[in-house]
Amino acid sequence: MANLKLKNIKKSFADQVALDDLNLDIADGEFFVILGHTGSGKTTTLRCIAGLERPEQGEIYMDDELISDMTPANRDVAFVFQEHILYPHMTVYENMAFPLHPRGYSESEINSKVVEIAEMLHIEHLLERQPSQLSGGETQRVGLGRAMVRQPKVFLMDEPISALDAKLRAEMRSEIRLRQRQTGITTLYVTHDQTEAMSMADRIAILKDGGVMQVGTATEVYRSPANLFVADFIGNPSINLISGKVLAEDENILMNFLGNLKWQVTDAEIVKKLAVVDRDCEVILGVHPEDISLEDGQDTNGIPAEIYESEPLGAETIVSLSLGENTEGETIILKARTSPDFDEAAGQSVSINFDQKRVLFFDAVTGKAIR
Amino acid sequence: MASKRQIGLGHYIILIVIAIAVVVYLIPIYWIIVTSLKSPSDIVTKVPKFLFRVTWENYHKLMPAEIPLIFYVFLVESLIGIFLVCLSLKKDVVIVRSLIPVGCIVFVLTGFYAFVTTVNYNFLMLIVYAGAVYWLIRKTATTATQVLLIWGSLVAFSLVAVCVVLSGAGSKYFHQLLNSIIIGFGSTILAVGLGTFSAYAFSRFEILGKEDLLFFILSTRMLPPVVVVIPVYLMYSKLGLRDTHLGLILLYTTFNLSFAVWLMKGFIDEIPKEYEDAALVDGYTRFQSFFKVVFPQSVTGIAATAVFCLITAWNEFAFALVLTEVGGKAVTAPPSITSATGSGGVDWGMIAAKTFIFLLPVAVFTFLMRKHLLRGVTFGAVKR
Repeated sequence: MANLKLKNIKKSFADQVALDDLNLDIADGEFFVILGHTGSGKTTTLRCIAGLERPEQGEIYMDDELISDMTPANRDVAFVFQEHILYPHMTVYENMAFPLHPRGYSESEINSKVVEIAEMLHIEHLLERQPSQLSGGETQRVGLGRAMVRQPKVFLMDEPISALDAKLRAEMRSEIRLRQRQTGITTLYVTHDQTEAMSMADRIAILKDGGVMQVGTATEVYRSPANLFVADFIGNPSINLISGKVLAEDENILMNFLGNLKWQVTDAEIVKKLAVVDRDCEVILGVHPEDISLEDGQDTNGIPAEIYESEPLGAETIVSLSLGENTEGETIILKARTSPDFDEAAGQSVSINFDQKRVLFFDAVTGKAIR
Repeated sequence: MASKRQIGLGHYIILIVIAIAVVVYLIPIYWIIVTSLKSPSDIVTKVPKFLFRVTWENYHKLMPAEIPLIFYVFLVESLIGIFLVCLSLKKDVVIVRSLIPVGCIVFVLTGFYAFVTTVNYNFLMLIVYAGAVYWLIRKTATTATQVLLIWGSLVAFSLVAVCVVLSGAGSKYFHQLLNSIIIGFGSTILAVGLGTFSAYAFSRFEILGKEDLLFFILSTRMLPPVVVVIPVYLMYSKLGLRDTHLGLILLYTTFNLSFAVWLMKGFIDEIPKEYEDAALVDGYTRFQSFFKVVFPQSVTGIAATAVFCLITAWNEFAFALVLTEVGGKAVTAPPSITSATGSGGVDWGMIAAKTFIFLLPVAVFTFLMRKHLLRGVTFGAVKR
């Protein structure tokens, strides 16, 4: 068990920068998820921590001890890979015992440790099998066991379950989370799946182009994203982003979209926030699908819209709403999450309103949140 | 009863074509065998004789005047070994596995007996080798392949012992066959060993000028080797490497090395890097992770490469002829076979007998390895 500190890590491959001044601070026993698109440097971060890659710059501390110059063997971390988890030429037992051999345990100690972990993960009946005889879920379970059997200071997991089918993934998600809580070992978990990140993490770091965009709990990154990238990344269906201008009319602050649509900001806090923004300045309004309400048209502050399409998902219905065309001739579509009883036909005119407390504003130029 | 699958006309045509191909390919071998069993007058008839009196005369000429008893002991041992190899090929028979220590002990004991009675130091070497092989694989001999490997090596040792016995008793041809074995296997082990290590380095590490180096290695195969016969001859004369085992081993290793590096690089590229990364994180050194993770997974590739290298070295004729002296100590089998053409005419019977004995080991070896070979050759072609 250990805390982990990454300071100003820089790493590039050939002429491509993988990590650019990366800083992370991971607490002891934390389940920390690194979320990012392909090529954002997630895996490189893990490999740097494991010692499989050498950063050109920066320091890595584990338990306040500098580990940047140590060999992978001395760092006492366990790595769970996405693919190629088990050695195909060894049985499950041999695979699980493999990390124990270099640590000088006796055969009987190894045996008892492997059996203990196997029983914990309910894979004791698989011990004599070859990896080729295992299903996807079983393979992942054994892979997890292989990492756990050594009781390392830190677990590093590189998309360990993204190759599984949806149902198994959900199962393994809770399995991994449960085992992490049981052992209390600091875990770094890399994924590109935001649902996975949100559901498992104590804290999430969102990575883009080798830099950290935001670190926070699932609620934090969802409710107050630091910038447009994070806002757009988190949430499914993703947040609605509409560009507009801030207007001041008769002491009222208004948002103006598409030149002709106006929405009055009444919430005192947002008014305060928008005070720093110049009038007639381009801003981007972000609103999550569940924060859009559909009304009959009586609402004075409502924005007229047309129903474009609706997707009934059972527990909810996702409604696409058309606001009209912008100057480039693109139709602005908003997605709203409504109750499953919603049954307005496409083409129907409605009036929509945004939850005053929940809307977010971003600077159109820098992309940063206005707060 | 389930209805039989309909066999169409197409199947019959394919079968007939295959049958014709098999006959075409086997006729030369059949002819060599038949010729080696004919008397000189039957060989040179104008109309080929298909019915003739079988004579063992040609083989007798290759044997020493007096065959020691220990020869038969080794022959029986290797026959039993071959039987057990076939058994373990079928499936991992427990008896075959549990008989490994017995086989090794019997081999070592007969080796000692042969050493004491003939005082031939080759036997000491064989005993050491057998012990080493047993010791290396004994601990982990769990899979059928490893069992096969141990028995295969014991058979190989017995066959080498047969050659040693016969050459010790005065047979020239078996001495030359022994040279072929020493030079062929020696150069194969060197080429594949060096090739595997350098292929690993090329596959896994950033090496300055990697592409150029690889091309340079390949370029050594771009000129026909015979072109350099004269320079090599002059060089070897100066260095005193002519007509030595070491000289030919080094030469064949050079021929095969580029091939081994390229082929092995293909195999090692196929092994995911993650396996070694995992081993490194688990606390193994780079060297250990190579032997524990990469090596076991590239055994098929190593076997395929080794067979190709062995066949090249085994069949090589031009350099073996030029770089050895007639009747010298390092003459291999191929030049020896042609030496039967003298002023007294061509002794076809002897050529046939020598040729048959010459192709027997490689044919058996390739036949036993056919599954691994097929897997090895198609390994890189299958995208996973």
